[in-house]
Amino acid sequence: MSALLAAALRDRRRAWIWWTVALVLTAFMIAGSFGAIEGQQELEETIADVPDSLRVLMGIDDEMTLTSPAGYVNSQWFANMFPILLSIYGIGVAARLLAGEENAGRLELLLAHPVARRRVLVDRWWAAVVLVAGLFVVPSLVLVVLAPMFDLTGISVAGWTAASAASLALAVLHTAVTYAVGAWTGSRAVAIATGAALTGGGFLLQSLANLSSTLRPVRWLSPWQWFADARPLVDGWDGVTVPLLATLALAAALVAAGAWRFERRDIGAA
Amino acid sequence: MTAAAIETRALAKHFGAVKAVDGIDLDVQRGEVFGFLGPNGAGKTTTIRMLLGLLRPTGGTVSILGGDPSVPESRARVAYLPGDLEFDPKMTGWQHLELFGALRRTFDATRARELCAQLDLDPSRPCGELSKGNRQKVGIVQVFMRDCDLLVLDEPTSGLDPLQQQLFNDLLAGAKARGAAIFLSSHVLPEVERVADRVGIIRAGRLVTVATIDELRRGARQRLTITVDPPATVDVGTVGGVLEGRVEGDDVHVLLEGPLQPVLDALAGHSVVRITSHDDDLDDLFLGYYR
Repeated sequence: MSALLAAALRDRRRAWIWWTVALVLTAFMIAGSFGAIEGQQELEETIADVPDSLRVLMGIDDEMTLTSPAGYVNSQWFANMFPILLSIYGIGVAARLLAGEENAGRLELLLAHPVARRRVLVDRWWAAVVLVAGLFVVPSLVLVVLAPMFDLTGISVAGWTAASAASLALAVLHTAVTYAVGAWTGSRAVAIATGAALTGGGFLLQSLANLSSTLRPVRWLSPWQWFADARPLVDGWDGVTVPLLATLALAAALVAAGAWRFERRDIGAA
Repeated sequence: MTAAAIETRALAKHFGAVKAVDGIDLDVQRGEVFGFLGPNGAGKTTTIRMLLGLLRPTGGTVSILGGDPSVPESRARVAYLPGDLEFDPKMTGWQHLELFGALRRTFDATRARELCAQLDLDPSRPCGELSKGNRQKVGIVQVFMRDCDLLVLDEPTSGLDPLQQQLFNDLLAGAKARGAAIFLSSHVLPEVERVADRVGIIRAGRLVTVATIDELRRGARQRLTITVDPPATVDVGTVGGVLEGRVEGDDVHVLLEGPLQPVLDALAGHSVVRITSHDDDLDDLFLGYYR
């Protein structure tokens, strides 16, 4: 492991542990609450009256009902909570590791050394990926292990992995956007604003496009939409593989574009 | 023949309409200490950042040790001490030194430890807990923990007490003795006066003069008080080289440009009791360049 990568990971260690604890507790709480609504016929009947568009928003449909294990896990975790929390963490880390360091005046001495800017950028990008993926792995495992204990049964291994991978891919894309904008502009604030706008705006667009016919044609602008038609908890990897690869490819392209600019522009001139 | 340590031609950096650096020619040879002087905002740090490839010039050329500073290999034998030195507050001084060593693919822990001891620095503390002076010491250790051929130091002694400044000057002398070039910026003359062979004075992005310290001194004005007996009766203001002169009892006050002899000749017949210098002469001269 390179010294730069190791230093970046060491620096973020403590915050990472707290985030992991928080996500594990959230997963535990969600799994534990399933017993309260499992098989509740009244709740199902109420939700049956809810318009389709709103149910899509909640991450449920006719087959994947709220009171079924798959519908419940999807609506409480994979459709919103998990990718959003992972994205928030990823955006913070990505903005801090490069643009934040630059704004604090800490890249100047580092980049005066005989090290290529691209090396610094790539090593810290991998640090961000390792941190986000690490935060992803622990609560995911906890949830899979806990699920049977709380009657969250009937979800296949492919279902769990595909749904989790989709959440991770979205978070990686939001992290990449933030990192790339930070590399391009050298501004932590602009990087965070862009990452947050894409995450929140994308989520809203995907949601509202189901309600508004004006927004429907542009809903593909939201990365969330790319995964919206797949139901990985039921169907496994079908419909997930292609958007997953596309999302990761886009993330890589964004980081490459950021690197291109980062190698050419002025450092710390702001 | 080895390339010059620093060579710039018409080097310029414009930020929009602001001409931070506006056409600078610098030549610094190996084994030379070059003082780079100018008031704050004159373009010193901008120039230095271009020497290290951090800023890309908008005009002219720059080479360090014969290479383009934007190429990492060109910086392999260059050490840098930034004017605004910032460290990760959570990392210790030693962790920084190890990281910088790793980036050069060579880390002499023994030497780094010796330098820390010499400067009375505890490298095991997180940088966030260090005073400004102690952080500066971390910066100084990373400069000298490896024998580089070019040292670029931006206001290096800020935050150091006089004893540590002396230590720092000794380290500089050592680097110079083994043939390194040293480029040293400051906004105050005394910081470089003792160590520099030549100085360049920059004002508003342009190099207004390059001279040796001796040359500066020769052109410098002197403010003197000559106490004579009996009191002088001549009008010293008319003597060649005297810019201002007046007699006050036994004392003759002169502001002089050039040699003192004509004044003493005019005072022939008086015995000179004492000559008092009020000089900050180089400082005066230096301020003259600033205005």
